[in-house]
Amino acid sequence: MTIEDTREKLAPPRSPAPVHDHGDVRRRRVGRVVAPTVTYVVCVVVALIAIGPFLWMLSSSFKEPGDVISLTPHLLPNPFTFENYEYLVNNGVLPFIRFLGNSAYITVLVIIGRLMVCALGAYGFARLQFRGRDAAFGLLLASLMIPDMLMVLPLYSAYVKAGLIDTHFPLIVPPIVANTFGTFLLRQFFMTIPKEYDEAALVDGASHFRIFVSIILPLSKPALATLAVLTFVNVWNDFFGPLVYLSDVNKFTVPVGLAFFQTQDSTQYGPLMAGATLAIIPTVLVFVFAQKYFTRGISMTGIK
Amino acid sequence: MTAEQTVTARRRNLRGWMFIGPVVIGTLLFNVLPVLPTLVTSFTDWDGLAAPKFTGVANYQEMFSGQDPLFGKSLINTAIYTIGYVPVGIIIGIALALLVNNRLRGMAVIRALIFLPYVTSLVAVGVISRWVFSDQYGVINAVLASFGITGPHWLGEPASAMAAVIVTAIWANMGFNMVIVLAGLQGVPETLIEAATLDGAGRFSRFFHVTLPFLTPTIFLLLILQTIGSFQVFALILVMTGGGPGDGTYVYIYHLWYEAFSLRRMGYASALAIVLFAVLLAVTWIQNRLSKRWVFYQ
Repeated sequence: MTIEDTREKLAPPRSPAPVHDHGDVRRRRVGRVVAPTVTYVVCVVVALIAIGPFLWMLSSSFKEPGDVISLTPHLLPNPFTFENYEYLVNNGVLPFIRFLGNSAYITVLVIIGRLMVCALGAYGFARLQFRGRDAAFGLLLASLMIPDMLMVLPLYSAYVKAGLIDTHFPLIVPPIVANTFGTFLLRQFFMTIPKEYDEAALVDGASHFRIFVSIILPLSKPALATLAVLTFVNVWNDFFGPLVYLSDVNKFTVPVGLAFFQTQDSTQYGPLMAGATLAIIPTVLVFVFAQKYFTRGISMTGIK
Repeated sequence: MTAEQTVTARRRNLRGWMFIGPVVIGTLLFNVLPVLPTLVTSFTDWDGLAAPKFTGVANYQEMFSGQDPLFGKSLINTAIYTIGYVPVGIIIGIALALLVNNRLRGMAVIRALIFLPYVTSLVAVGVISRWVFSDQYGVINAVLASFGITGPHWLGEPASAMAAVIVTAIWANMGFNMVIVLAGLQGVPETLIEAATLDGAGRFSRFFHVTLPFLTPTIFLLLILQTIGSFQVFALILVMTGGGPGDGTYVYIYHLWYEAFSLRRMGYASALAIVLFAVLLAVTWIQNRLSKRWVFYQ
């Protein structure tokens, strides 16, 4: 249930009786005319601050070089051009299309793999009784408190020895098999599914794997969707991993490619804004279409 | 226990481990066990490839005896960033949550727009922000110029560069803080607010005496999360300032990254990682102790 749903259910019906408005918690009367107007004005200003830089980025990405750095800033590109995007595709130095492809396939693989591994683990922790379960759960809990920085150096050295530097292995496999957060998220959800369903199926002779696949997973679509969108954003935006583990430009993902591009020439604002636009658009689209899963996931856990 | 029961127990254990095995082994391998080598190599001279050479506490000595001035400088910069970013970020998060926590039409859209910067790549945010704060071509200085004011060279001076990074971080994370506070607001009993209203409490008095005490656990959660995050700020700094100008925004993780991957001083970088962990534990412990004085649990 999203915050909005909760609020709608808990909120009493509107009443026109005036009272000093507070813009605050589930108020009984939101009737006064002036206060909503003030709230709206402030809201619009805040929303503009939030997305203004993105609008500026988007419009600049369609401007010609001289227009981009014009000393009289204007929002609409005049003339409108795809020059900056063409530059990203054809510059011969940084293969931006390739960055997009790398990011896309890494993100998709991690989402699929992570959902499988986390859901399996979550079922074991939520539904099965066996030796070592609680100790293993404690271990996962403890691992959440260790900062990544404590792991990076030995892992880097191990990858060097195994010949895995400049491959996508470090960006795909650990995020799939070592995601404690996703396992917790799904476990919490599985625990809310009534056990009677499993018991009925067990009596009918179904195996636990069968129950997992044909009862638990179909009932858990909202939780799986939440984990999928949070994973999408984290993996697509990941910067430190690719920065440390990749040095071959052809293997770069979008964030390192964009950062590298900026270090090459930080004054090419037009192409830089086109690159930033391409880096941002996928997550914004996912966010627009799956917004409720984000806020649900974040307010459930307090973690990205 | 009969032989048959032992077999079933064994089968049951095996079955359980088939489900949790992948995530437990993966976590152990990639998120737990590597801590030990980090601890060991922190007492060595190591380039990450050849065998580490044991040097005792030399790495720690280098940090704390002042032989590495950048260690102290990066700690101070990280503290400045944290103190500048965390409290203001939380206050803005509370203000935004109170602003949008109503049933007016269109609020869902407003909430979504405020949250949007949080889902975008910090690298892209840094690239945009670098331009916004650019002295010649930046939007901010263009606006100032239209009022006849010559804007500063934001990223060219240590103090204003740090301010620019902090403002960018606050902007990028305000939606996250807002969503957490919105969730916290659901725990404020409406009846108490109504009672306070009937007793004649004004909106400020209602906020400070009713809403705020109920929000303290949420504020505490944000304080811990954001402090830990701030100590590890990196992407934004790398893209916006590269640690500069000079060492004006040179933060702790930047130092660790530079020592490890540019200078190949992996032993020293391991020691930096251990010290980071110790500092985070200490700060969290202190915040936890202090929280007993101001956090109110129902």
